Amino acid sequence: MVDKYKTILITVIIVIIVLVSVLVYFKYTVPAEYNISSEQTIVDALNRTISLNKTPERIISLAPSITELVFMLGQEDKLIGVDSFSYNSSYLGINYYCREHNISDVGGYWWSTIDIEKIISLNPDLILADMGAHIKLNQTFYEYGLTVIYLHGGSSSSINDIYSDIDIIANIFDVEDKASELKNNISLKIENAEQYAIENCLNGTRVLIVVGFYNGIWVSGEQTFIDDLLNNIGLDNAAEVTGWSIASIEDIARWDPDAIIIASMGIDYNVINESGLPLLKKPIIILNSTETDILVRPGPRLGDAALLIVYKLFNAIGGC
Amino acid sequence: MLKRYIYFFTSLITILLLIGVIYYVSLYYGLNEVPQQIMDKILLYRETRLIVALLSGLILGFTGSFLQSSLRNPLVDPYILGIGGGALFATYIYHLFFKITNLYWGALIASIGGLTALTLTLVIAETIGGSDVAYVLSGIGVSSMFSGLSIAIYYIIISVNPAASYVYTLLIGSFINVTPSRIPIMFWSLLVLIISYFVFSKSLNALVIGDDYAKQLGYDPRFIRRIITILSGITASIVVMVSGIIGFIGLVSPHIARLIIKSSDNRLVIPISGLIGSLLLISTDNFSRIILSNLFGEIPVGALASSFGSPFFLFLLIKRFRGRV
Amino acid sequence: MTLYKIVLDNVKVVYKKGKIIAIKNVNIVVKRGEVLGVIGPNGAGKTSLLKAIAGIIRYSGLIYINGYEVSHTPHKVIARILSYAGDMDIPEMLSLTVLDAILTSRYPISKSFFETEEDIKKALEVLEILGIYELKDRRLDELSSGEIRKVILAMALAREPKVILLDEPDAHLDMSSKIVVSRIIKKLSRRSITIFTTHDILFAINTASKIVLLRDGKIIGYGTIDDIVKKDLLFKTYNTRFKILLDPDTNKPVPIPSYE
Repeated sequence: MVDKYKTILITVIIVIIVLVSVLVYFKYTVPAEYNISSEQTIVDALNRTISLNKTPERIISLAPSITELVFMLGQEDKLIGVDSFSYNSSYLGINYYCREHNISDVGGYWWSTIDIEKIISLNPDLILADMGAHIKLNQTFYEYGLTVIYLHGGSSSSINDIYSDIDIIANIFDVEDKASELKNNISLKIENAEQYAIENCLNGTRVLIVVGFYNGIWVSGEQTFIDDLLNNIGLDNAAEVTGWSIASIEDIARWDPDAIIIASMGIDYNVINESGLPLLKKPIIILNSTETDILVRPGPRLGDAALLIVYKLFNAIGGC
Repeated sequence: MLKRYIYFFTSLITILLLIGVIYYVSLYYGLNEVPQQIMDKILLYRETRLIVALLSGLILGFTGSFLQSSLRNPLVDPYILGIGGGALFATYIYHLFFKITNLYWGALIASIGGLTALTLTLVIAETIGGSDVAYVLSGIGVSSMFSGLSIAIYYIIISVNPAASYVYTLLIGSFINVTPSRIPIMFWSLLVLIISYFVFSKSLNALVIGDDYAKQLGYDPRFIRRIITILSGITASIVVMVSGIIGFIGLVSPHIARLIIKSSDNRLVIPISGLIGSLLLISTDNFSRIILSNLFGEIPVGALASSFGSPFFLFLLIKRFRGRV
Repeated sequence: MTLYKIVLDNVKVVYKKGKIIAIKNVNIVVKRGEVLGVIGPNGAGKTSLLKAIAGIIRYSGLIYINGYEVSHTPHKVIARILSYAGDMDIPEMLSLTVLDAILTSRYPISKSFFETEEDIKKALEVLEILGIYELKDRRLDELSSGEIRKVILAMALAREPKVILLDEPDAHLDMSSKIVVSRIIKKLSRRSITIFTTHDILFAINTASKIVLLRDGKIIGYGTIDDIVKKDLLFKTYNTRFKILLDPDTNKPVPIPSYE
């Protein structure tokens, strides 16, 4: 008697579960609709081909270097959202501009702190993202029907990567002329820096660029855009590692840099002392936060970075 | 009826109500005037995030209590089996050999890594006798090995592929980037765990008392342990695949459940543990999404969950054990 | 009504791939209504013997419980008619209450996911019989070792098995508790087969109807109290001299070990 009721109950439960499962399956696996017509196609830094069906009028930038490029190429009027670092960046008066023009702060720069919901509600035509920091959001943007173009940004391993970013953005907005102007500008400054270095007998100086002190001394090694920059201004990158890498004080001693430039945010003398760098008895150049931004952002201020390095070097170790 | 059923049903209803309220409030709170199409997308995003948080909490709560009972150890959580370290290691290896353009396969790779580590733990544990201690020790060993290897490999990766320095952020537990297409697989996982609950909770009660005791009751402790390990490992790996590594929930939810309902009977503990996990995750995720994002930007859920849950857990602990020598 | 019988035929138990022989050449027959006390020095193989009969360790030879050969019968079937009570080591924080623990021992005969009224009734009954009713809501990890022993016994009895195997049921118990346990075992024996091990020879003599003397895994003697409690057999078993007196009230032998 009791068994009959139990069987019925179990059957009912199973039926309910099956029904709910089917519902869940269909509700959540229908893919987003997509516009196939396209006016232009762009190849981004990840080598994906993106179709845009018109020139974007509402764009969101997720990295400060990208925002700077957008400004330098004159497309800031299209911005409707930027990342937090951009939102508070004083360069070019970006922070004032954002507040005056009601541009939203969408969080970030790291992917896990970005406000996706805000991005959705802003309804952008295009999102410009950093291929290293934001790759994880790729699938998310796709499933919510948001178009995203990835740039090299912080993953730039050479000056050419940065030029390629400039070209990609210029391509999107049809401002190739402005792009050429910008690139020429940057090359000119780099050449000037190289010249300055030669004139002041600084060429060949071994420079170590320190970018952080988290769990060790982070340096800019080979195949970073900073390394490329140093090479292009005739200096030598003392760091004999690849990429952004941790080095021990012994390694650094072995590399024997002629000067150490520290480009890191929020560092005080205690941290530097604890790292052991002063023990090497090499000139240490500490950059303030504005100067740090200039050096570590792979954006339009690349040329300024070149000049900054040689001027600071001259101040620190003199010339001939 | 027995007193503990009263506690059970009270807690059950309360938690379900809380979850329901939080769900609906967070779904509809603070919606500005936006066109219908955008509204739909935003609702879809919120709903997806809530459901994934719910399902993750349930899965972690269930597997946490399964494992604590089958391994007779109150300090284990799903990651004891090595899946966290394995997932990390696999992700790193993947980035070592491929220049990544699309992380769609990345999630799958993480799961495969987790499952490989799980298999290794299982095989070693069974080889050394298949007892509760065997599983814990084997899990710790495998976990440490993969975590250590991951750290070592990280430096190799960024020297070969300098653009990949972001890899260590990939497995952070977070619901920010959850997508609707991931929901079905989590749902199936939960279903499997619910079925296991009906199949195994009685035997888990017996298992906690002892292997010999369970045997003379007619159960096969090694078989149960094996199955529980496999199921927990697989479902927890799926959570890693979808939301990254979320610590704390799997460990603490069963304990909170036991303290609230004043019983260790798995038939009661397991469901409450799952619901506590959901409640914790859904609250912290909402806190992050609604409050924090306007102030500081979102904070990954793993960090927040422990900040929320620990004080509550400690409070219960002190209340229960005050005065004990 | 079947006559329950346990038959052990040339049973041998080994550990560590044959390096340690726990018991060998064990041939025993125990009938319904009999209480068998297994005694011997440490490491004699008493626990292994019980575990083999319960089917929870491997053995060679044959063990029949009422016609079922233990190693060829599913554990679940055996669990319905047999219970084995050894020691318990519960991890803290995961510990069940006494009542919950007793209820688990009814699982083999319980037909539903949750316990029935019948289950709860029997569980409380068994707690009363052992005099530990007031412990029913206490957690196992809060009990003294004597209380735990009684709970273990309660767990063994809760499903009213036909075969009860008790490993040192009198351990950690004070005198009066030992006597309570002894009485319960004797009372149960009418309807079941009980086999227990113990270190207390007096307990064995006053509780069992038959005794097995075990040393180094071999049976030194097997038979009724009068046949077995003899000086030479006891010496062979324990390597200790005994004086055997007679209790005039019960007519049972009282062995006294020599401390010289």
